Amino acid sequence: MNKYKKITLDGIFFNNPTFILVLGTCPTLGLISSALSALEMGLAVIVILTLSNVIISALRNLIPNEVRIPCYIVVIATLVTLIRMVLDKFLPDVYEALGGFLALIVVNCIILGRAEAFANKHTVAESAVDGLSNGVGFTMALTAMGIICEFLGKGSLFGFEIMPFSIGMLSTPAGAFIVFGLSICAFTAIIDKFQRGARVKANRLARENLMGVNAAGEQTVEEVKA
Amino acid sequence: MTAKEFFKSTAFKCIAVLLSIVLICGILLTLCNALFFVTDEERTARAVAKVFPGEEVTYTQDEVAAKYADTASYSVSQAFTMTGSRKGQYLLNVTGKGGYSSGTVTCWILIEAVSGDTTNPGSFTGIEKVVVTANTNQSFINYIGEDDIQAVIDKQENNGFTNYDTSGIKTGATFSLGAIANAMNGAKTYTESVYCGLVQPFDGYLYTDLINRNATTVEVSGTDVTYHVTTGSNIEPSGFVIDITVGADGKISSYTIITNGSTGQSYSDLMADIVTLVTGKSQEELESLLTSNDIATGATHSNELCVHAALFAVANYTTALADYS
Repeated sequence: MNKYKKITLDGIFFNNPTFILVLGTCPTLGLISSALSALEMGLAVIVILTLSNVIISALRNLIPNEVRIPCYIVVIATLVTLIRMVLDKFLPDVYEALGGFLALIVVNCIILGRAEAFANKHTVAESAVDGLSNGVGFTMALTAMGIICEFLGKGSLFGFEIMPFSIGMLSTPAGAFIVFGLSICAFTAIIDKFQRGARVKANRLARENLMGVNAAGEQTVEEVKA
Repeated sequence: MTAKEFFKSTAFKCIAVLLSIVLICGILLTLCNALFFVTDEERTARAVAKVFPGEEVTYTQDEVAAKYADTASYSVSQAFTMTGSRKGQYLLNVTGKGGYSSGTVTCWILIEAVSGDTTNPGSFTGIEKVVVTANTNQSFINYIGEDDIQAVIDKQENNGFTNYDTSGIKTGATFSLGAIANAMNGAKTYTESVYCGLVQPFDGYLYTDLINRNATTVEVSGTDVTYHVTTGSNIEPSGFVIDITVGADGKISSYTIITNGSTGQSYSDLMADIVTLVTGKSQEELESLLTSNDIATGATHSNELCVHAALFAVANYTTALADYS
């Protein structure tokens, strides 16, 4: 599989930072009561995560191992402050909606985690794709849960009222926690089913190979050896 | 370790790299701050624009008159005189105090009034719009809709200094609505005093927040000052009418509740305790009574009105003696 495709699929699905790695839980629980806030938060994280991965990957050979974490934090904090300034200047409504959670991106485990686990070991292009895909995975997860919480908790979607009935508890952090837990269950079950299907298919191919009956009709390794 | 060894060491490299990154980031942020800095004027314009969505408005920002800007029930932080198509209107940023859990509610309040001065006073016409922007500790403020705020506005009869009150309006967030009413009353008082040039009765007197100044009168007999105090409403209870006499020693010699504003008979009955508690007390004793457990009769808001009326009487004894002799 193309390595970029693998990085992308890992970031969005197989190692989704929210549902599989359970990172960035603080903004998740704080912001999914509104689909719009969740989407806005996700977009901010995409930008910061991609840029931080690119910068840290570019500097990975310059930064001594002993001070890598402080260096990452300084870079991430700078990017977060920069994004806050830009949002405050040009998108004040988004800036107000995200409130303190915007500043808390500095300590978002996804960003520091990808810097430490991926960006300091890979090329700039790969790190950029990783940042982008993890950001998209985070955004999709947050937005999906935001839609569920807002629809059921307030009877609206992205601020537009849809139905008069609502379960108020689901628009509170406690409700968000329940939706988060159920979403993790559902997502893990789907990914597990998909991966199990892929494993079964791979096992069947391997077994066919061992029995010398290649599906494509080509010689197996054993046949060649014989 | 020699200097040469130090400069070749990992420690030096760590320090140099970290400092370089910090320096570059600092310079970058400084430049960006210069580019993206949001001025106070810009922030004010954004805030005002939210009060008039989809409308271009012009205004001049006024200096807030400190004398009327901060009391126990409200504080005014910004004041604007609207111009152009909204001439004759005033926009105030007011924080109403006394909300749920001693919290506050901050609102933009648009007022229509005829301007004037002390020689040719204007008049307060009414509140056009209230936009709630922030709050502290108001967990239930979402229960308050625009209809509820409009109901408070509609209740007020424009007759002098009558206050906006929330009695009879059920929202599920009684205290928060009370704080909004305090903000509205504060905006009204501020506008009347500053923009209309109306010299309010008991101007400069202490503890006037919960007093209906227009309906309160004072009589002096020798060294005794007798107040016929009418209070304002306080969240749930409506106005009390109380006759209070203060003697030469600055203590309350007589305290009689003429009209009890409590919401029910059970609360009204509890007020007898208050009469006993405040009679014979000085200003200091009454002030300490406000924070004391002795006042816990089970009718908190009625108690506040009664004790504030007593405080109004004793705290202004000397001034009233001079003004009404």
